[in-house]
Amino acid sequence: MQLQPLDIALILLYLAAIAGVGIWVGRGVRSGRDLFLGGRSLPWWAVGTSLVVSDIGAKDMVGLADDGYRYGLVMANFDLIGCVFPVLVAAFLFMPYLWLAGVYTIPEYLGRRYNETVRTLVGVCLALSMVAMLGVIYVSAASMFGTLLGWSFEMSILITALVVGLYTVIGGLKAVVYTDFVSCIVLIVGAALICLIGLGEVGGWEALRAKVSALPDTEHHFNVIRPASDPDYGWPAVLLGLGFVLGPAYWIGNQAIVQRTFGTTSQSAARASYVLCAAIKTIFPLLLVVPGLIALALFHEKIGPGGAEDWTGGRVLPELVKLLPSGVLGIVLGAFLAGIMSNLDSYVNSASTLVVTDLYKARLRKGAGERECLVAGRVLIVVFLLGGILLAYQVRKFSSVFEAFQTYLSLIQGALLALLLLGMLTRRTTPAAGVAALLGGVGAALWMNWSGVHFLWIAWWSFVTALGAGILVSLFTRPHPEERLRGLVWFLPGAPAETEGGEA
Amino acid sequence: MIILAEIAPLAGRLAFAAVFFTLVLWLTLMPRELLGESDKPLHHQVRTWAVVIALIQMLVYLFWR
Repeated sequence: MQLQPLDIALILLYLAAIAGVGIWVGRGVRSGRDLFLGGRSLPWWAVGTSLVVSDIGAKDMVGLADDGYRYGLVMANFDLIGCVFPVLVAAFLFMPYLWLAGVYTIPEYLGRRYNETVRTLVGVCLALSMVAMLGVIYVSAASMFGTLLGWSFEMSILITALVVGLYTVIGGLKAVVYTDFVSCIVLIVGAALICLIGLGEVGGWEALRAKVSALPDTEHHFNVIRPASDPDYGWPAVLLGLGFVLGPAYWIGNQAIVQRTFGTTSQSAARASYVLCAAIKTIFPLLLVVPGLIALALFHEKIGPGGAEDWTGGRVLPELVKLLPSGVLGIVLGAFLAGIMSNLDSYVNSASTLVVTDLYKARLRKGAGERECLVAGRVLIVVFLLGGILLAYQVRKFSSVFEAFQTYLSLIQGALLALLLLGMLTRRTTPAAGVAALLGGVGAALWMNWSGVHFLWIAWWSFVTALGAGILVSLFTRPHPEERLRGLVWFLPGAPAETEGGEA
Repeated sequence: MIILAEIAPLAGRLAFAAVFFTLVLWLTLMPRELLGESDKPLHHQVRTWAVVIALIQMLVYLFWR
């Protein structure tokens, strides 16, 4: 596809603006605390928009367009029950405990609640899953750049990694959050343009419904709730696997998400940032899933049936983008870049924070000062960007990047949510039970994944396994004394005690 | 079979709406002191906006088809 000078100018302008904002904002970074928490000075509105685009990115633009084409509006659940519900629960129930504990990371909280073994294991699992996410994001980027610009897989990834690496290494979380604010605006404008122009091509909403309904296997494409018998997204699987496990585990226990709220000025500001995120996310089903339906109405003969055995992902959004006139195309490509960069910078900054805080400083270099953590953090950002490139080749085997993302999440999220719930809501859960819950949950998830179980059911049953293992082991082992749990567990208010080691 | 097919999505819509209804109830009944916002007018309270968003979600699940 040939880009016009106006489109190229808009893309270059956007890249320059993002890099410039990121470097200028991040120029005062002097310590690990600045790099990882933005010095705890970030305004709620910037963190709120950063939460949105830390979640929504290229994988969603590409993947939800693909899955909106194949399954319809049921995919909106990933932003409704799968996001709005857990975000509000996180804001009012879980965030206060993480905030009061003064932690940098989720594993750090779990280390105080259980023991250092849990902290290390969760840190390793989360860091690995984040590197896998980087692979997903790279593949999303490469599918768009390859189709639209003719760039090779390797070239797309390298350019993406270079631009993001530049301002993330220099500016840390502060640069990430402020560039995310700009990216959020561009993303919403770009996605809205695709929707509006696409609906215009189809002939409006009613024409869209008529055209899609006339195609085979589309009787549920306009329903948000599918029958229980549906093999892919029946409502019980969506409610249990997504609404009660994947969604809450992601919005409560995902370091890339939660770390942003740690950078705000107060608990109240952190809560406000979550609520702003929930408000913005209510419109994303329209912006990201409806384009899939539009593509089904316009391009079903070219792309083929969504239920085909040989379905390959990444083809829907590039077809829609070809409808766009010059100028608008530049803005939409800017939006796509916004999605890639905001996702990438979030995950790579958070993976670095996790490894430095929970593995490097906690296990290898206990006396490491802020300056040393800053250097280690910057080196790790580069290492993770490169690691993600290697994993991108593995991600290409999935039929859709969105499915790859959710599958990787489902391997750890069930166990993580069980650990957080048992840890925050009960005093009786013991350190040994924490280890058992984690190993049982992740083990069950890996086994179910190997057996070909759908990722929604993997999330639910790994959560149930972890919960069961945690409760069972707690019956036969000793819990921490109450004084140690103050401020970490509901019903035990007070300032959390500082702990050193704390093995059971 | 047709009746079952019709009931099932209705059961699903009710289940999803019930989740958000429970959330609205919990947010509304939460003591003001826990949130530290008792001195703010209603439209400046974060909780108010959270309730509005949850209500919208509940209505979407109940009535969208």
